[in-house]
Amino acid sequence: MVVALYPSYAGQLEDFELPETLQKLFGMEDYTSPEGFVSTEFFSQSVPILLTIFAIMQGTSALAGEEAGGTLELLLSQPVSRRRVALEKIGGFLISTVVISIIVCPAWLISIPAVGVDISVTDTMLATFSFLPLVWAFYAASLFAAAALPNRRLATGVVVLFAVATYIVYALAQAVDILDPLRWLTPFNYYNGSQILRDGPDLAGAAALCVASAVLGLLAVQAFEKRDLGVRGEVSLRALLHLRPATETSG
Amino acid sequence: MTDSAAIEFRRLVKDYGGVRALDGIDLRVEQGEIFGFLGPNGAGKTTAIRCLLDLIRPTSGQALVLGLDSRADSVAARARIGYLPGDLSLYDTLTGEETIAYFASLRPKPLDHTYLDMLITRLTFEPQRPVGALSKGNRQKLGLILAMMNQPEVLVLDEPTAGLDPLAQAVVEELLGDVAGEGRTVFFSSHILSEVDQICHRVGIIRAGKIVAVEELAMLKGRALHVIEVTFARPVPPGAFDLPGVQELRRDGSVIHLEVRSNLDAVLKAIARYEVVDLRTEQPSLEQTFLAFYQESPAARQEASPAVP
Repeated sequence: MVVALYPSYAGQLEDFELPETLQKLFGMEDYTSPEGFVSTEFFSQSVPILLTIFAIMQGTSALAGEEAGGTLELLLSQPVSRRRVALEKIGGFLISTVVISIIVCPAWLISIPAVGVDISVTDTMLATFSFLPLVWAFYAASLFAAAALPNRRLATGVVVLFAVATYIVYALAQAVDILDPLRWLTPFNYYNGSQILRDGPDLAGAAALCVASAVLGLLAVQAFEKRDLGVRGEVSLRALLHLRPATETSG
Repeated sequence: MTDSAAIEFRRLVKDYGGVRALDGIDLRVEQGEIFGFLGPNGAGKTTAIRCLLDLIRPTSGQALVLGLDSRADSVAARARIGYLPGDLSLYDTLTGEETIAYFASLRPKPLDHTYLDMLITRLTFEPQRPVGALSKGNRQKLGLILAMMNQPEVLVLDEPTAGLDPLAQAVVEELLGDVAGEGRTVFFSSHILSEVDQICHRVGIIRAGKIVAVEELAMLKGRALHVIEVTFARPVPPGAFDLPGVQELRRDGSVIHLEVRSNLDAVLKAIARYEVVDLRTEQPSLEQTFLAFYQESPAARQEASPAVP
């Protein structure tokens, strides 16, 4: 739908002139060209945010969600190693994200030319797949937080806080010079959404995100292997305050 | 490895935060036994069982299954256990059949469908319905089927009859009897003694993280105490039944209640010295026997500390 809006915007956009600082803040440096418009609307603003939320939800529910729901108890009592369970969860997520990207591709390929924006097929596909490392990094971070922290809600809070904080740092760093040295700390820095259709994907950045994902993923597996499995609905605050679990069923 | 214990706890300690949930448990369950693990809620039954399955890790000490360490040989140990959690959670969207197929796929041994069908029939379970639509009792049946279907050498059941109707409870007792008859081991926890006295060979009692007693059930039944209620024609002098192993519980005029642990013969002879109008005796449940042997009665506590108001 937003793609379809471009032609109607185009006229106004010619004299669309935000102050330079604001343009940088919103990643809108190149908002008035077709590539810039699509890049800004999707690849820099809506989609990464949606996908980050998706990744965090998946990462904190994969193992920690099953633990809180109690179903992990019976699963881990079977002759399967915790490593295998964790790696298969991760594998399932990787495959599902790739499949989603492939499914989403035709939607881009149809909608972008349909409104008379001329962006090449390869560029569109590359742009679609360029989300993946960012999503994986947040998934791995969420998985690790959920395995290392006593409960899922705390883990979700920590990762969401991290995502919001790093997004703000990233957005502000484009406009404010003093924040520039902090840019390397934010995952969003390694993903060049707003220029993706013009400049192509940031391969070095993608590689950095992949490495970070792998490291966090391995840390998550390790933390999960060491963890004392909680019982269903265990009151988190009690665990934090070193109290006896409130809901231990019978022993 | 054939002579190793089915289950063994060696000085097992588990701390939760600052609280010691298990305080150095030692226990050995032999192969082919039905062992009842008894104790009030919160005593540490579930904690010990979850250590055995490597769901939680001992602070110190060891839990072994058929000689396999729960930590070092965790997967191999679990391949020989069938486990029913005390707080059973299943995937609500799957049907019973799908749940069975899923968990069967995680086991190295192929499923014996004849045995599975026997379990389903005897427990009158309906495998086509989604788990989310099942009653508590039917979920428990499915949990039992999942634990038993692979015919594991060691069955570990945390409160197996919870939520089951008496009919299903009886079926479970029969099934567990059959398991032991095949030389396999059943280890199950309960907080209700009367639930176990029909089928257990031995019981272990855990209280506040410590094993306070391990007994042959036959022995315990032999020790069963009697409560005698005698109505005399006239009030009898105090101290008339001051015999070892006998306690006067209550006295309402000429009616006296006696708790007799031993010395039954001496008690009857003492009673016979007075004119008896009525005599009733009851053998209390195993529950009461246990309490008498392993729990200080309020009276005993008062006796121990007379200075305290």
